[in-house]
Amino acid sequence: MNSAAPLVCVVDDDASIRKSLLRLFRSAGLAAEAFDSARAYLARAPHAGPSCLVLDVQMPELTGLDLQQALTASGREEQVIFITGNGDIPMCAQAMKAGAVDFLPKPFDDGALLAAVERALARSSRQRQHLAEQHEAAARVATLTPRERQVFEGVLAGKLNKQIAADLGTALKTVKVQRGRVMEKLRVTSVADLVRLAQQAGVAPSGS
Amino acid sequence: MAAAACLTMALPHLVIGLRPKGARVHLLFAIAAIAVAGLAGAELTIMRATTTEESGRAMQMAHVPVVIVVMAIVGFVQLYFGTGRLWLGVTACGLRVIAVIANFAQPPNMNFREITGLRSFEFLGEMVTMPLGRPNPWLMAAYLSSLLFLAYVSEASLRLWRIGSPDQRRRAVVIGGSIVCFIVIAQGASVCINAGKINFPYFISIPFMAIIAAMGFELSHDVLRAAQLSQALRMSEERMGLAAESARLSMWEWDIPRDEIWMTPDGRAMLGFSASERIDFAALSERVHPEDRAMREAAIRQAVATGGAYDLEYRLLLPDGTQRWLAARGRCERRETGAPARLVGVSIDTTEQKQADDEARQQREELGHLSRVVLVGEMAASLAHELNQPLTAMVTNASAAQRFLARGEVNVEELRELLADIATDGRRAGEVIRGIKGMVRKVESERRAVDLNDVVAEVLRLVRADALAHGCTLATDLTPALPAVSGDPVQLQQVLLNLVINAFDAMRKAPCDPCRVEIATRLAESGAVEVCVRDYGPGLPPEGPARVFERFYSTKHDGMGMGLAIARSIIEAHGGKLAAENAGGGGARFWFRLPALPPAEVPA
Repeated sequence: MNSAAPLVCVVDDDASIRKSLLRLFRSAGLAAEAFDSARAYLARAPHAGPSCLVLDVQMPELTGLDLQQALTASGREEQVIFITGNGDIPMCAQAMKAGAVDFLPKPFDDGALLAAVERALARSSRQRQHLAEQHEAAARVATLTPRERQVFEGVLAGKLNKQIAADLGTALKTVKVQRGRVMEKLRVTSVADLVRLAQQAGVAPSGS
Repeated sequence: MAAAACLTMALPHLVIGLRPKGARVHLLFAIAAIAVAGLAGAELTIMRATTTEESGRAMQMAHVPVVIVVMAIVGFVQLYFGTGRLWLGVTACGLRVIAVIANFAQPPNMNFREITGLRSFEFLGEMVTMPLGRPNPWLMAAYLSSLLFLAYVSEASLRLWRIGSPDQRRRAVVIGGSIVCFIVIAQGASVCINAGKINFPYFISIPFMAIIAAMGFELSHDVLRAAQLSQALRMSEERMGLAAESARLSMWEWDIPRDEIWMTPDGRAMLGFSASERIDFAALSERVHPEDRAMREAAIRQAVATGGAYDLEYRLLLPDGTQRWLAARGRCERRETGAPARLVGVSIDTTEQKQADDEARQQREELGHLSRVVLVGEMAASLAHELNQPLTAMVTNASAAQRFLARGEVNVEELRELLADIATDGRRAGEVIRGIKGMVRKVESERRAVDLNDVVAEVLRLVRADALAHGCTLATDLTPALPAVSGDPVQLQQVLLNLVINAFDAMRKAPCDPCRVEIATRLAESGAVEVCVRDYGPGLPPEGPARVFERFYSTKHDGMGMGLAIARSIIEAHGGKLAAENAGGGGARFWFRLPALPPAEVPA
């Protein structure tokens, strides 16, 4: 599922810097793409694999900080590393508060930049994995019949089979069968796994 | 009654006339008025006489006040008009005196050789008597005197009318006219009475009283005007005093022959003199700051010698040690002989104004420094940003190359391209630096023929206040009639200003003796004009004189180290040379030489 390779995106209005950064990432064995403005980057479809953004603060029109805000507003949680010619502390603080990975003054040390990129890709990768697990759990929960879902929520609430049967107005034997089917469909073997999966899928216990 | 009126008029003028400094016209007027009163009394006695002896005696006595009136009027006209011919008046008086002598020498009197009887008739309801007899030939002397008197007064009045002001013309008409008119009436009447043609008592006192009234009218006019003038003068003095006080102005006057100085109380208080202390020139000079004394005395000497004015600002050093600034303006007044009589003028305490000026200058300096700092800060920020881009690209490219090499994947084509990019970025950084240099030099300069002595004069004008503030004296040794140089006068002023300000700063760093900056111009060898600034400060830094011209080198805690570097580039751009050396006897010498223009190119 996470088969797409990690990608570093560079946004800077200075062509030499774009070119040199692409070379640096290539020398570190990383795939990289460059954009000359914030708008050009926003026009690109989000990368499927883990990715990070190396972003110049000072740019005409949309600045780096504007782009960061725009991404957050549209729900794209990108890992951003800022690079700047003359950044000051308030600017740095704003960027970090908005979730930036790092804030590097130009000219920067290549090691420091690559380390920051590595950190950012790792974060991106974790983020993606987390998302994938959520999708998987939700998909499994979606296979349950309405009755099975009711039993599932009763189990999550810590109710005994007898109580569930009383709540649903069915026989204890029927509940036992349905509970077995839920465990099978959700591919869990214990109640503990069941609870964790419910959390990932965002399913709440039935009201008691 | 007439006598009483005359006496009433006489009294105030007698008081005025008798005062030591009183006008003599008032005294003469009073004498004339009293004499007319006496005459009226004598005429009354003549009318009341019952015997021929009594009548003759009274007439004899009546001539005494007449001669007094005539003499008093002549004196009055002489003094009051200032236009009378004295000999005429004196002759008239002399003849009258002779007649009076005859009057007493030949009884009964000058009118009659012999009084044969009295005729009596009714006059205004009363019985009066008048003498009858043979006339005295001496009476002709009196008539002649009256004629001369008339001639004297008319001539004096006419002359006054011709040359006088409107006021004096009125005086000529009122006094002169009334004298002539009433003397003619009096004389005519007395001739007729003497001849026994009309039945009328002697009433010469009446026309005389009219004359006295006319004189009194004019005099009281004068008295009134004098009173108004003194009132106006007092008010004007009060106003002047008030104005002077509010402007903190003190007025003074130096009586040069007596060497005594009068001064308003404010001035005395400011200079620390008591109200009664005698002030002479030397005493005043002692209050002047020793350094300003020579300048002040030279200006005053010049004003006295040429009869001109002076306008100075100098410091006072008062006995209690305080220092104050004074602006003084004076003018020399001469006598008619041309000898200087007095020096009058005003002084104003400008200490507070000076302090305000000093503060303003300090603020201006600070602002100037601040704006330079801000400008440099902005330049540095823009420089940093402009240089950062290519530098970042270069560093990043180089790092990438190192990594490629470390990984052993050397693609020669890629490496070549990478190195070419590094070179391009290096050149780009160079362009940025060149652009900043160009920005600094952007101020276009305008070349024309410049007299370096003028440049020095302009800079002196600018730094005089700074010299005082730094406690430095400025000395100049300018060679006159220097050949011109080709240059931008403003830039050359900047260079010289920079050197002079540096000299002041150098003197501030260490206690100096003397605290002096000397500026000299001269014609150097090989047809160059040289300007030299010498100070008595600590001299050039031990690292070597050349270092002071380096950019960003400064010995001042607030210095940028750009001044001399810029000064040198300006001088070099003018085809000249700027150099520094330690001067013999301590201190530093900075000089620059510029090639002189050939005389033909100098505009006339």
